[in-house]
Amino acid sequence: MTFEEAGVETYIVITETFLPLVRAQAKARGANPKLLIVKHPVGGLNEDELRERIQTAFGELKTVLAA
Amino acid sequence: MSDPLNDEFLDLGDMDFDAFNDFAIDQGWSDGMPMIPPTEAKVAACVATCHGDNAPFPPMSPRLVLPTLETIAANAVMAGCKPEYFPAVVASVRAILNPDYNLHGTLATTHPCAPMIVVNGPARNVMGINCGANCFGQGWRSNASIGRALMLTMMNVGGGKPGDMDRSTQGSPAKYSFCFGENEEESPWEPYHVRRGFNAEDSVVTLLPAEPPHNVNDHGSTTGDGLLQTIAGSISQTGANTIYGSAPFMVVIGPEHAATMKRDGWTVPAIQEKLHHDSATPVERVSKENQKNYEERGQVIQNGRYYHSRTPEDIQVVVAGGPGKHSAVIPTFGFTEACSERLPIR
Amino acid sequence: MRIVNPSFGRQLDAGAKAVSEKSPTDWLNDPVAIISNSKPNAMELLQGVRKLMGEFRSIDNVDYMDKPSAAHPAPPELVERVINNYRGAIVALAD
Repeated sequence: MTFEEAGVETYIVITETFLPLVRAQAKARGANPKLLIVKHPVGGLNEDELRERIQTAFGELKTVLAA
Repeated sequence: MSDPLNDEFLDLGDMDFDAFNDFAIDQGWSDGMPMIPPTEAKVAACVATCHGDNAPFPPMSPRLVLPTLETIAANAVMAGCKPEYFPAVVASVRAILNPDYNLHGTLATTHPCAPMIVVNGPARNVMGINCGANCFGQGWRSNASIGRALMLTMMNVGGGKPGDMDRSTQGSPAKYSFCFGENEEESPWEPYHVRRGFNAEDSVVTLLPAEPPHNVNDHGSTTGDGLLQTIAGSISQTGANTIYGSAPFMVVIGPEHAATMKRDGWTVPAIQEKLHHDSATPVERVSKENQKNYEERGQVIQNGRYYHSRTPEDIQVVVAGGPGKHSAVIPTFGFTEACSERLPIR
Repeated sequence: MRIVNPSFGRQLDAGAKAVSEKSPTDWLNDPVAIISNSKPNAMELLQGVRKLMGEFRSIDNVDYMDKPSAAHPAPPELVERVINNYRGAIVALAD
């Protein structure tokens, strides 16, 4: 969020499980972060399982890149 | 429109004890057990014990609002504290708000750490804190309610609600309350708070984000060497957070084990030195995947081992408990420091 | 019964939010920092995202860096490095 204030547009990758925590922190700081939300978990996944998370995280970014 | 539940005072009409508890549970204020209504008079009686303690509190993670003495006292009343316990609650809140404690990390983590409170000094006797037999267990109002008051404050002021902003995978029973005192009277060494630089007549709390105590049973060893070998083996578990986040953790030596160590000439620094080295976990006991994980996180292997402590001084040695051949190891979250605060009383 | 609200806390004065005078980030060309939280698979996930970004970007100025510990906030040196050298950031924060 410090990044955004300094002009560095920021996307945050989080798993859906951590949404309430991240939203509460953002609210407390008066910030509105851009989130790339993927299914939980990320740790412990094998390569095939991780591919799905990568595609999901990239999905939102893709619309920005292709704009 | 502002939410009336954000107000400092709430008028609950003619609610009785049961209705208050139904309401409080609906608000998410409880740890699951019934609570005492925090009436203005009861809160004022607590606050009066800390008269003159005007230092502002820093914001409390994850909600990042500023606690007041009154709102901490409301949680202490709900937890069942007598007013004279309140200075220990206030000092504990200040300790977890020390940035070195890493409060946000301890809540955002999936590790089950709870705020462990160790009390030293004359306040133990004033408050009737159990330092002897069953010191980690049930039966003492001060132990039970001081630890509970801190946890309720973290939930209600800090916003660390379980399953929501307290992200622990399984939690632990220590999250209800985890407070005990050092058995200074039966310790053969200087009190813990004196070793941390306080005066013997100071009353001090020391906090660590901790797992519940892991028991160390040793009826067979008749020497300090033998006992310390058993304790080192108990620290050396492969599933401890400190295996990749070396940090302070606690070793609570039972008075009978302590007496044996003292007889054999063991000092606290010598115990720390021995445990520091002997508790390090041999690499071959750790899975290959975890070895890679620890390496990526920057944990270094020394002498073919993972060290749980950065230095011997990381090992926090206290004496507590009653008769019997048991001690305890209290592992921590890692990524933290032991934080001590003097109680705001003489 | 009148009680003291156990969840009351004074609001932190967030102050006026700084507004950057920089132009909007050009995600096709501007330098981008990818920051891992050092948790297992975070690096692999972010590297996968970086690779997919490469199909759209012609300039190879997406850099990868590590927050040393998942359990602590990013150190000031890392924050400063990103602010001074990059216009976009992708951060792994919580999993």
